[in-house]
Amino acid sequence: MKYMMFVSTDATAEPYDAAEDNIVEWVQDVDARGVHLMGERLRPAEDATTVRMRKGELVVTDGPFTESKEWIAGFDIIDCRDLDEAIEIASKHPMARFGQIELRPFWPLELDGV
Amino acid sequence: MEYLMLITDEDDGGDAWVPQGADFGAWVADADASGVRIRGDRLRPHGEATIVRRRGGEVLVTDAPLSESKEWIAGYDILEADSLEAAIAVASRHPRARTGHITLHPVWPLDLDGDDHGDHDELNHEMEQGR
Repeated sequence: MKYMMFVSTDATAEPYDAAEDNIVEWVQDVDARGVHLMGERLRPAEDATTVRMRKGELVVTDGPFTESKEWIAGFDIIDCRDLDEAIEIASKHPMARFGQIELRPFWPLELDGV
Repeated sequence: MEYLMLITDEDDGGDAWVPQGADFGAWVADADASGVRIRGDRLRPHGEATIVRRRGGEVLVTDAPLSESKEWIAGYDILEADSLEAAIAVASRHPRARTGHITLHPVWPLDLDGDDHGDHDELNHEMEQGR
């Protein structure tokens, strides 16, 4: 099963400690297990661009659409056995401690059938 | 430049949704043909999300998003575009740009092989801002 892991900040998280950030080991582990399809850190939220089309007009705004205390700091796409394994993988990510991980199962579009 | 493009649905605010399934296929075919789209997919509804946190060494699992929201991420695409303008052009043609909104997040590559994998000053600042 494929999952999107949204790696987010969280106001209730433990303070970030660079010395405890084991992201290199986490990536090595998921790569070695063959469950990691890709992952990237993202620029801070203010570097995002929001795009909307309203009544045929293009509306482009800097930053995320809504003001939120939490923002997505990175993402990983994993392909694993089931939700239990996805939770186990997510729980070992350093940002599970310094933020939070949101697991979203894929829902493939069958574009050939539309 | 690589972007995570998030497709967000809204309960209100957008133009009325007219189901035109073929729109998605046309957008994907166009974005693939232009070489800009690397991959992408739809995600199960936000009520099926699982939140994973580790606090004080304990793993905490919550079944759904903690916040009640009138907007939710419905899918993603990875874009590799020559410029932000090129990414905006592709995003603006997505059917959901009319009924929801599209957010382009530039990636910030981690140098996992180097001694300094964190840009720690900037990352620390970012993390502090998030608290």
